[in-house]
Amino acid sequence: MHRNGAAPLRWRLKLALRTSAIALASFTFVSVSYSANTASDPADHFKTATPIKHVIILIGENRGFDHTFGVYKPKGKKQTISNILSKGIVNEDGSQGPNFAQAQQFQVSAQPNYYIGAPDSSKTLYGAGNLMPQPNTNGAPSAQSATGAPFQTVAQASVEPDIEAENVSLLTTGATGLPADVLDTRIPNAGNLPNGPFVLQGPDISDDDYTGDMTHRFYQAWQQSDCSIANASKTNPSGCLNDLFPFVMATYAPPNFTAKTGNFSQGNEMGFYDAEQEQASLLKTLADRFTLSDNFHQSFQGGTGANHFMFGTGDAGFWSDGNGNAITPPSNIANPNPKANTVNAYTADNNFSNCSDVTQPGVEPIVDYIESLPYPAEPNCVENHYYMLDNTNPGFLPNGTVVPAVQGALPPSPVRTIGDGLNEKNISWAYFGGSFNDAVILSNEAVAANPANPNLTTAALADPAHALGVAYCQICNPFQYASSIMGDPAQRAAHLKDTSDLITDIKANTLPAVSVGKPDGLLDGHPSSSKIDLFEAYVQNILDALEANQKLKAETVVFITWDEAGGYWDSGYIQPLDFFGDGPRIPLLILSPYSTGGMVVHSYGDHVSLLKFIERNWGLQPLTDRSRDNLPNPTAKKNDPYVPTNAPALDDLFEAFDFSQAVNQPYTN
Amino acid sequence: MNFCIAALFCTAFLISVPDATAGQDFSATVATTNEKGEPVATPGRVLIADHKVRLELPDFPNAYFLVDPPSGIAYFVKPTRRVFMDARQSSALAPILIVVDPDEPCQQWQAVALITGFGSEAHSWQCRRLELAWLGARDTVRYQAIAPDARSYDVWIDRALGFPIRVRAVVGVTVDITDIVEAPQPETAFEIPAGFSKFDPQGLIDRVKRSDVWVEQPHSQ
Repeated sequence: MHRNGAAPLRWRLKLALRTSAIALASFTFVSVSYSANTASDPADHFKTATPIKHVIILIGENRGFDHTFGVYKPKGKKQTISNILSKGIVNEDGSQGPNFAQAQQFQVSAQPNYYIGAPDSSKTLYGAGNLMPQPNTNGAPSAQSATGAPFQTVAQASVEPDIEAENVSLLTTGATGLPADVLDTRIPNAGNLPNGPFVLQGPDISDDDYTGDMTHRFYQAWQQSDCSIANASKTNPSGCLNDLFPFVMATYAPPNFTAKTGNFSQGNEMGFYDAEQEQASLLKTLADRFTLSDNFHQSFQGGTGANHFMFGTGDAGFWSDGNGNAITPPSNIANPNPKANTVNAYTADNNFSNCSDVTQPGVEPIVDYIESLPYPAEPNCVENHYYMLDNTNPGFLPNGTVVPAVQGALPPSPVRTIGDGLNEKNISWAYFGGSFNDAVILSNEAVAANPANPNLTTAALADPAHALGVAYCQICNPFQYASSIMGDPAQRAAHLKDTSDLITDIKANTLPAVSVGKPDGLLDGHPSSSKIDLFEAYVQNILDALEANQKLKAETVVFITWDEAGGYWDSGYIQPLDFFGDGPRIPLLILSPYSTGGMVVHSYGDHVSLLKFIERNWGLQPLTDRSRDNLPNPTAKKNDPYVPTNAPALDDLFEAFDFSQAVNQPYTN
Repeated sequence: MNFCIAALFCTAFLISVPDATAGQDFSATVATTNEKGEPVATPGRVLIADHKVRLELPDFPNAYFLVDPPSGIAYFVKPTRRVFMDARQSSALAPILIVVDPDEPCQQWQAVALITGFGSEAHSWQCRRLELAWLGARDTVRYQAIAPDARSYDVWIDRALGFPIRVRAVVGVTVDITDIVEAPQPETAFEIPAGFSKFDPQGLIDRVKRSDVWVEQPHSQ
């Protein structure tokens, strides 16, 4: 298989590693000051609790912690990490470790109703003659294309503007060379992989290849986590075993589903990259130089939309009349109970549940479990509220048009966002979405063409110059759900922007105090539709801009994280907080002059920790009386920093910094 | 107009272009102003050679439109990215700023509308001749023109050039073609440079549909 990609980024990173010694020698120690810089940066005028005047949060798609940093050794002195290498599940070369059995997966016999926490008596280990479902090419592109990624030429790939020219070639590489939805034979030993995690590395596969996707939805994710208080122990008081990942993927959809509407992802959940073998090498370099959390979690069990919503609000969205009053959705109500005569095929794999009513399908097992936890977690479900559990488009188009009801979008949401909190304090903020400007133009055209049912895909086909607007992620923007933001043209203009505007703001010293960056669908790193090295290229573009503005860099923290683990298995502890989550671990990188040295922090956090950091730094209150940012910072035993002793608790990330000393560490050069 | 008639009409147009405009090659500035006459964008540029149009608009920096109605071509070119694509509906102005017959401009506008997807069998340009008028030293005929998307424009067509030199939208924005210099234009300005690739959005859409960016409308229970 021809594999010529990734050279530009890799060359740069290898060069960066070679020169790191020089970089380390050139650290600049800066005296600590919480006062404003004297230049004209408007964010300097806001009072902050720390020297940090700017937060940039970059969010990739669908990579878990062990999937990305499972084989990573911290570079900082005396640093420890919890991953599949440290646990002996795998060796440094990705092969089976002495404790490989700790990651073994089970299948479950048919049960009468939906469950989380399968009864022990129903579980059977995968093994010889009963192979764990094997990885496949679900959704990954077979070959290069003149019209879509991976493109045939760099020229074709150049429609994507949000990476540096030297990295555009990454958009031309990584096709599987295999048919759709077949065993992924690029993975060494595929077809005979043992029961546990396997490395996505070999002569025919690396982090520069598109790989098969997997379903990552709410009820499936709870079931995969296999949480039961009967399994609880001192080190795992929530009793989540994380041992049904391939089983749920292989069974929740009836066999007549197509890959497009259902699932044939099989065993992709167990794949991981080997950072010690230079996979995801930019992320590794950043971890080597700055700070990594090994106890940061997706905030919502399941997928993109709900996790971004939780990130923006500390809460879950619900179906309403568009004026803030909860009502029952006309359709799309979930029923994960198994169909008759199936092992686990969901009756209605839909998006909404009223979790205040335990008679609703799927609700009782989760509510019972939450209420059984040995700490005061509550489901946090309000009566008669149908919560958005899975991807549902916002009730506004990117241009502010209210989406007609026929399209089934979540009606305009009354849930308060961090944007509202910042607005009340007149603190600047913006959401920078990849291809947002094109999406606004497509929205204008779609509404003009058919106001009763505007279609952005039709608009994209009619306007190739702005077609990249379809790659803008609407469900990733929590503010696009909010009436308070989208219903006000001035708010939209002030706060909703494009990636290009982020670069411009960094260069022009006009960066808001709080910035959220989300790449478009080509660069977000999502399996099958993107690659992890494309997300790295997106990050590199932004970091290079920031590196060129040293004054801004000196007072900025860049948080790099993901929306969710994307269905990838993880070995970490999960602290359930309410009906909606938490879910598995995801990486969090913390880049600032005050978080250098290859440190690893262990305090328990999730997406809402980012809200808590913002709120503490700029003196904001929790968003509402029910939002998760009300939770306290964790306390933990010295010998087990991963499990909060005061659960439910979420870290505000302040402990990841040493504000007594600033170190000007280069990002990658 | 049904499709067959439209097709015949297009064919006829491809064969026969307005004689009055033959040889009227020129370059000019594209200036956009608001109701108060204040500039609302940096000026663009237009080049005309033998009915071919190269249009550089401030809304599309580092890019240009190539419209060649006799060849049935309307492209959008991004030189920095070395790609070109069908212009389709990318700009409302590109399908208007073309060489037309001053006595029957709707014929040419409709032909380009069909190329760019602006028009259809059911939706065609409608033109109403209003008056003869002088714009400075230029002899024009003014039309009310209604585009297939129902947007209305007042258009002043230079009778010698056979080219719109003022387009006023109902919302108050006016586009003026100024600083006209009649001279031969370089052929290369109207060619797709060698090595440029054509971009089609369908493949992009297909790939995006594999990601979480794409949300299918809910299926019924």
